[in-house]
Amino acid sequence: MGNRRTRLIWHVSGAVLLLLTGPWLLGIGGSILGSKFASLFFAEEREESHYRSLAVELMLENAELRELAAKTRVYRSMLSFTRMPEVNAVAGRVLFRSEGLIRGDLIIDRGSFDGVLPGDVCITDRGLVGVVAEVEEATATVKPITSPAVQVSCITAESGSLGILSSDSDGNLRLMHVDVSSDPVPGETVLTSRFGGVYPEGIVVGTVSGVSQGNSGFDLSLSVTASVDFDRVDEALILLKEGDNL
Amino acid sequence: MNSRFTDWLIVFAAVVIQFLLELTLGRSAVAPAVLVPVIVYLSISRGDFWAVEGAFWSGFIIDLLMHQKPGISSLAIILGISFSRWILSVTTGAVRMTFVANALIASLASDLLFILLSGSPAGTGFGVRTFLVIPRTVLPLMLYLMIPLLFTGRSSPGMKQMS
Repeated sequence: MGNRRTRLIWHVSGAVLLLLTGPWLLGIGGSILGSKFASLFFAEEREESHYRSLAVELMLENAELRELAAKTRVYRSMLSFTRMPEVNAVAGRVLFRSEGLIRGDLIIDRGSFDGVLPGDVCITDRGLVGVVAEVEEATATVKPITSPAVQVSCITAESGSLGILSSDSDGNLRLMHVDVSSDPVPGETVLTSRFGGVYPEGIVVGTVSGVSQGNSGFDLSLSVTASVDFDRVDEALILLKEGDNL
Repeated sequence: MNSRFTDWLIVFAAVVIQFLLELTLGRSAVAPAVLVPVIVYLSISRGDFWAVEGAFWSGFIIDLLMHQKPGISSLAIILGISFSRWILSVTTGAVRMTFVANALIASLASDLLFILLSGSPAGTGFGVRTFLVIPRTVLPLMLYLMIPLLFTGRSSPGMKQMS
């Protein structure tokens, strides 16, 4: 127990100390205890809020995955044109169109770093776009088939009419040197043929819109409407040749 | 049962009763002073422990319960009991160990100390209502003296010692 006087002094001092510091001590202690007590009631709400934010996060992720799935479908559709079991390809975005005489070239955000080489074929899900003419490190220039400089060996799907697809100065596509005996009709699908060696066989180019006599009079010239809307090309697939550095 | 434990139970009961009375009737008004007489009684009959430690902790609990400045009741009760002892130590031996006299002086002193310390700034709490501490302290002691007389026809030990 100790001396009464000592204990008395200690306890009186303790009471005075409490009197001086009590409000602060109680305030701090009360705040801590109050927060602990409140957490008993609001913990569930916090958990609910956590799940709500998680749900929003998952919805955003889901939207992103849907977009990726849609893109995948498009790319798959592009690849199906090649009719090749194994093909290396890189998807690229059209950065801009260069100025040209008829229709400008397409600048794609893929280059030599991605394994693109001059001569690679560029397609979209609708059909043939053109051929890679120049390659930089990070970009490639694609000449569309509407350019007079590009010629494509093509065949019509139903009648099997072979010819060379080229563009006139107005950008209109014509399938030239078609055999008169092949009897092509408007509405036929025009595909790339296995001849020529540049383009893989079976890529859709367009449809026959008209049949007329050729310049020599011994052949036919077919007007072709391109399946690709060159003004609206946004994403494209560049088919890499075997041996390209992917 | 352990004697100290029983005493703590008594103090605890007194604290609860005091708390309920003050909660309903108001401190420094008409709420009867119960706790201090109990502490005084225990300090006389059981020992100094109750005049120091018992007073400190019971006062502290009352402060927490009543949302008063912590330590104010502890200080008032300890000093009030000490003051009553000092007062009675200089009087004749006849009343030195009298419970009623001790409790009366201790209650009055502790209430006055409480009013003195609780004012902001200290000492500004005094007024006409201060006189209410007299019935507050006297009436419970009167009751203490009268109840045995009413039921048994004999005075309580406190009364006997006073006479």
